[in-house]
Amino acid sequence: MISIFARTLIIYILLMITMKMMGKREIGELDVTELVGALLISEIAAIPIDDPDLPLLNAIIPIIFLLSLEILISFIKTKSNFIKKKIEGEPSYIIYKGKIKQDSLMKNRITINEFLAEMRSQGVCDITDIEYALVEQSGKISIIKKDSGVMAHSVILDGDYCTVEEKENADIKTAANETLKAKNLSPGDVFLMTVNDNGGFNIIKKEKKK
Amino acid sequence: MKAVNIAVILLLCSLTFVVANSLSLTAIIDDVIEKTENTDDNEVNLKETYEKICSEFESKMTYISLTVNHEDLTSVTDAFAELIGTLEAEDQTSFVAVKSRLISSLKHIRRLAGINIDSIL
Repeated sequence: MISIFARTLIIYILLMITMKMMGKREIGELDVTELVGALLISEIAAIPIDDPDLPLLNAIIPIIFLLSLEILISFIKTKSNFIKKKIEGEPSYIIYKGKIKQDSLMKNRITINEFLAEMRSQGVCDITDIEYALVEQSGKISIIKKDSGVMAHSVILDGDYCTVEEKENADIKTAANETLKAKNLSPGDVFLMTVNDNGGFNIIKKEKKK
Repeated sequence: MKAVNIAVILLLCSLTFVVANSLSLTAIIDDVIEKTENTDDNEVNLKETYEKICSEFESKMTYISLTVNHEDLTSVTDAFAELIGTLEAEDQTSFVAVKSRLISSLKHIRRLAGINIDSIL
């Protein structure tokens, strides 16, 4: 029994250190890699407590490995927008300029009933009041009403173009390139570039590293 | 950046430990298997020979038990104890069977401890 007590204490301390280093946010904000890591770590941690015949290192080594992997993947995501997009995905519009994108609803596996329930929970009574609705990377649905003011759409995030809306993507990209050219900037110099419904661009340049 | 450095160090340390542990465990088990298989079953002090092999194995038990399942280890120590018992009782038939079981248990640990597809599957 004392061995179970000691193992539980060791695994508990190890998990505390691991979770602290991983910098966990609330469950709903975890991306795919973080969710998988958290699930695996919790399962692995329970094994040596449950079965005293198994060596403690059979849990400690995998937990340390998963911790290292998680931190390295987080670091790689900050360096590679391609990897970041593949892992986290991008927000996608399900209502764009007042029009429902039925293919986008299907792609995100959201039924119209689910959307209407979410709409009502956010205090919107009529779907025709909605100008934009997006499915965020976390799976949450964001609703922008028609009277909310001018919406700004992301064009460039951390040096990389993102998809605004397939049909208008090429036009926006062309206009964005012209704007950048006029300011002697390249997409790699830009931290955030947005375009509003009036066609106005807003640019935030990347800070120079000290 | 500090967390990344720590992650890389932890990753390298754990990988190094796993590989080194696997190689050393394989060497230890191979040594015991070789000694057991190469022992002349007709020699006079057979019981003392196996007791010596068993005590050498048990002296490394703490290190082996770091990563080897305790049930697997118990099957080896039980087999050694049975083997010595059959020699004391001069039961030749059981001796052959138990020796075979001992070697099988050792090869099982070796297969799982080694760096091969079996240990992954």
